[in-house]
Amino acid sequence: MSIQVENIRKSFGAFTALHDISLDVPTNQLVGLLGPSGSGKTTLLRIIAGLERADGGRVLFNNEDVTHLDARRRRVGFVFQQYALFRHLTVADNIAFGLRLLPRAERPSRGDIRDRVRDLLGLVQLDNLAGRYPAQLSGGQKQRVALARALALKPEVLLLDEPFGALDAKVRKDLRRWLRRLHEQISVTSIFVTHDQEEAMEVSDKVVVMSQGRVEQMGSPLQVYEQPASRFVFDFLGHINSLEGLYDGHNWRSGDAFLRLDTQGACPDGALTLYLRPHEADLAAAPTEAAHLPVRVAGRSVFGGTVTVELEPQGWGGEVLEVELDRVRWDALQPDRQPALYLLPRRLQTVTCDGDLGPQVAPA
Amino acid sequence: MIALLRTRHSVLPGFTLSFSLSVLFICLVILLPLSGLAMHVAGMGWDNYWGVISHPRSLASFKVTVLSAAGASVINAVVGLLLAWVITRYRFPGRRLMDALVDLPFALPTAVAGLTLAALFADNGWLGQWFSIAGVKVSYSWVGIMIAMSFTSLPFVVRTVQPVLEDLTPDVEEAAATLGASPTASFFKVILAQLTPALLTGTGLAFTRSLGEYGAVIFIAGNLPYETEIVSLLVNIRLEEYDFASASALASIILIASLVLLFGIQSIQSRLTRRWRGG
Repeated sequence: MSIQVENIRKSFGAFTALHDISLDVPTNQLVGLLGPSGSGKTTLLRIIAGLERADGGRVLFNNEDVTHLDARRRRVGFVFQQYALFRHLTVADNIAFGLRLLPRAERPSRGDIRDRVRDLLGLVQLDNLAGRYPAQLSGGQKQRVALARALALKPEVLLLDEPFGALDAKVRKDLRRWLRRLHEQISVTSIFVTHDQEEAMEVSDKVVVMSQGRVEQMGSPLQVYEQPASRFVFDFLGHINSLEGLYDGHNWRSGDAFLRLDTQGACPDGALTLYLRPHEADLAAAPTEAAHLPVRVAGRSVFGGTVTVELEPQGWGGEVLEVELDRVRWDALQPDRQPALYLLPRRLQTVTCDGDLGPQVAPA
Repeated sequence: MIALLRTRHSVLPGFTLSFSLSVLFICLVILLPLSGLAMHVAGMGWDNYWGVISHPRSLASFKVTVLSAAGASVINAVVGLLLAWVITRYRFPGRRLMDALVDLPFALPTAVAGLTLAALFADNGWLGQWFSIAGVKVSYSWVGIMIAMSFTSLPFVVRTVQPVLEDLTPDVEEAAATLGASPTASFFKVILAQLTPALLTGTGLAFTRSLGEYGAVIFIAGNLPYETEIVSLLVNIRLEEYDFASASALASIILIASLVLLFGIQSIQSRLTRRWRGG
C-alpha cells in the first residue's frame, strides 16, 4: 500500500510542529524519518497513524483519502517507543488482542488465532515466551512482542516510532538488521522514526531528513550522504569538522595554515567555511604545496580497524578536529616519532557566507 | 537475631532502633488490646459464646451490617472509580479542591458526618423529602445505613485506584486503538483490566471499614433491634449493660471477619499483580 502525505500542517498552540509537509512513500518501501528531537518526525508519524489530527492537508493510503478516519479504522500497525504492551496480558494474549477484537464475521476461530500467534512468535523468534508477562521480558524482547502484535492484523502499513530508542547499543544493532530482514520477508509499507543517523542509513530504502517541521531532503541513504541538499543535512549526517578562514580567490587562509583551492569562481572572496568529514582526510609528516595544516595529536581511540584521532590545530583555527584513519595507515605513520603532523583533506564542502552549501572542492 | 534480619546494608543507620520501636508500638497499640479481647472471649466457654453470637438479635445485626456494607461497597466501587478517573484524567477548575475533598470523610469526626446525614435525609430534610415523595425511606432504614457507610469509606477506593490510574500511560490506549479497539473495548479490556487489583483492594478496604463503622451510622439508622441495629451498636449496648463477655464475643466476630478480609485482599492482590510486575 502506498502512502501519500499532502501539505500536512500541525501546530501545538504557538508552536508550529509541521509546516506544509508532503511525502510520497511507494508500496513496500521502508522509509526512515530522520531528524533531531523537535523536528516534527513523530508528530508526522502519528498523523499518518491517525493518532493525531492535522490542522490541514491530507493523508492518502493507495490514493484513498483516510484523513478523517479514526486510528482504529486505518488498519495500520504501530510500534511505540516505550513498547506500550498490555502488562496484564501474557505475550500470546498481547499478540492476539487485535484478532480477538475483530467483528464476529471477520474473527478467526480460536484455533486459527492460536496458530497465527504461534506463527508470529516464530517470526519474532520468541517461541518459548508465549506465557510470559511483559514485565518478565527484556527491552529487546518487549519490542519484538510489540512488533508481532502490530503485525497480527496483517496491516499493509507499519509505522514505528523510535522503535529501538530505549535499547542498548548491541541489541539495537541486532534488532535493526533483523527488522531489515523481516521487512524483506513480509510485504508491508513501513515508515520508522529515528534520530540515529546510522540507524536510518543502515535500515532504510529511503531517508527523509527533517528539521524544524520541514523536510530538508528525501533520497536514498547514499544520495543524502553524498549529495546533501542543505547545510543542515550535511551537518546532521555524521560528525563534521568546521574550518573557518578567509578566501582570496586562490588560497584559503587561517593563521599559519593555508589550502590552495580552485573553486572556479563559485566562492566569493572573503570569509569561507569549509566542512570536512572525519574520513575524508589523511595525516602526513610533511605538508604539501596545496595543503599546509599543522596539527598536534591530542587524543586517539582505537576501535576495530579505524583509529579516531583528535587533532589540535597548531597556529591556526580553534576547536579540536576529529579525523578517522585506517589502522594500518596510522601505524605506518609512526605518529609518536614525528616532530609535526599535517592534515591533508581529500574533499571539502564549502559553505558560503550566506550559509548555503557551495561546491565540494579538493586542495590542488 | 537482629543481625540475621538485616538483609542489605543501608546507608542510613538505625535499623535496630527503628525496628524495635515499630515492634513495640504494634504490640502496645494493636496486639495488646486484641489479646485482651481474646482473653475475655476465651474465659466465657464455647456454649456461652455460641449462645451470644447465635442469638436472633445478634444474627439480625450481622445481616444488617454485612448487607449494608456490601451495598455501600458496590456504590463506592462505581463512584470511587469515577471520581479517581475524573481527578486523574481531566484538568478543570476546582480539580485540586475536589481532590482534597475526597479525604474529608477521613478528617471529619464520623459523628459529625452522621448528624449531618441524618438531618439531610430525615423525612423533612433537604434530600429526605424528595426521597419520601418517591416512597423511599432513607432515615431509619438500611438505605440510610448504606449511605452513611459509603460516605465514610469512599476515600479508600479513590486513593487506591488513583495512583494506578496515574501510572497508565496514554500510549497503551493508543496501542489498543491502532489494534482496532473501540473506546468501550479499550476501557474494559485495557484500563479496567489493569485497574482490577487496585479496585478490588480499595473496595475490600471500604467494605472492612464499613463493617466496623459506628459514629456515622447510629444517627441515621434509627437503631431498631432486629431491623436497623448494626453490630457495633449492639456491642456498645452490651457494654453499657456491663456484659463484657457478650460484647467481646460480638466484637470478636467483627474482628475475625475484618482480619480474614484484609489477608484475603492482600493475597488476591499480590497474586494478581506479582506476575505483572515481573516476579
